[in-house]
Amino acid sequence: MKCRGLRGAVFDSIEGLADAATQASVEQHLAACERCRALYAAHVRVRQLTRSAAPTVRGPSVAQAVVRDLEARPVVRTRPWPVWAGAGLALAAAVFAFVVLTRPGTETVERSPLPGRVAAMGEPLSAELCAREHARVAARYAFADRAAWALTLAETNQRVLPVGE
Amino acid sequence: MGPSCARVAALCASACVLASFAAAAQHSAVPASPANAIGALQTRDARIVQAALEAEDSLVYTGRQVVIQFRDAREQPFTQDVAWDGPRGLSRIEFRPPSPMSGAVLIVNGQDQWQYDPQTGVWLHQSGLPRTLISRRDGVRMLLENYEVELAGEREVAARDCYVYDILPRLAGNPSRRICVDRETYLPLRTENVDGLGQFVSITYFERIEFHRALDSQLFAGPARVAQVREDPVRRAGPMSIPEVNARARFRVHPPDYVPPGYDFAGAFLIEHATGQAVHLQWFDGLSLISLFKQPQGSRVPETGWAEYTANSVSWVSDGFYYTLIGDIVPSELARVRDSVR
Repeated sequence: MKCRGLRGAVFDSIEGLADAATQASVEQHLAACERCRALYAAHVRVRQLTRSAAPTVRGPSVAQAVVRDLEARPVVRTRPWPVWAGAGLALAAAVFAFVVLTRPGTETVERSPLPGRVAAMGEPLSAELCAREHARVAARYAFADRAAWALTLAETNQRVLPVGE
Repeated sequence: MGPSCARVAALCASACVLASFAAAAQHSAVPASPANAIGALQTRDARIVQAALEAEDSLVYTGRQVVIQFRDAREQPFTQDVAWDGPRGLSRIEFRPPSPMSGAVLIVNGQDQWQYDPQTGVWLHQSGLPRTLISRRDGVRMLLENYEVELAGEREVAARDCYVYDILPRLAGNPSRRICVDRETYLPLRTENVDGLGQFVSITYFERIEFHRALDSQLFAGPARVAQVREDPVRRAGPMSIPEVNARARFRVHPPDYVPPGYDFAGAFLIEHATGQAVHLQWFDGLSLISLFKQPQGSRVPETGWAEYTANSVSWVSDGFYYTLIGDIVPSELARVRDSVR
């Protein structure tokens, strides 16, 4: 085995995946090549460090832990207000907005439309379709894993936009 | 330990290397200035990384790729045959068994994308590939500012010698990446994606690859004239600035008050679909993309909460609008962005 051959076999050898003939070739080469011994030792060291640094088993979803944490926080609940209270507040808010937001140099902020008006503006894209849009753009950047993004896009297209309709 | 379990352990070890660097970054990282970041990368490594970024533009190849996606704590390997013509901007991917996508074909021909569904014989057409406001040059600068690029060794992929580079975040919470770059062509032949928590997102590598001078154009041809074609019901305009999208959308959008350090605004897209309109805002740090979608809530209660699609995702409703936030950063950072959305 030459140095080039060892580079292809070193990972299998360290992980115990090399067959007997390959392992024997690796050991024979290491006995004669100082440079490859150093390379082999470095890979073994990395393996030792990673195994002692962190668990090697994928844990439960972190997203679930975050959700639990968020759900444990106190929630500010809104209750329906009397009509007159709502009207009074709306008037006060309008006056406040006129006074404060029309001052010179202040950025004008348009408030979100009320739910009654929003319903007339259609139905939203699902979160999964938003993920598809995210994937379309992410795939264009350098060092993007285009193969993985392509698979994701194709799956989403087929699942969320069935072409058989 | 069987071969498959040993392989999982080896992959986990690789992820742990990247995760350990991410953890160290939390305690010791001081963001480098742009000049220091670029200068710190050794000249030879800088040339290789730069070449790797540009390799696809000039190469023509065919090959077979394996894509392993990590979802719900499982490995899901898929195989696909790929043909790539970089100079002409053409690509073709054919998904192979045992993938549920087996037989499907994805073709990019200039600005058109075609997807063939073998079960129905219908082609889905999308026009206009997304562009970005961030140039490649700025993207490289951002990558080197926000990530350390380190030579991690050498290995063989698809029987070709490769340099192994680790792209590690300077700030905790960002994803990592390991790329194996072909020594001869500088094409990345293996990519390992790890999210901000050090968990694998995907691994892609070539089982085999052949380089060519040219490929037959018929390989990238879309559907025949008589084929059934369905247009993608989603239309996109952009990228544009926030004032521009506010001038065109039926509602106003504001950038969140908090965006993680290192991320620059990468553009806004105005999305029109059959039942409404959405605005897609993006931020990029050289490697990682964050997307925020804002759209009217509609008459139904949309899906809210956390999910894992291609990346971490959280959706919520506020003031009659439906928001979706997506990114490979840690959920706690996504939560901070979400909480700062006005």
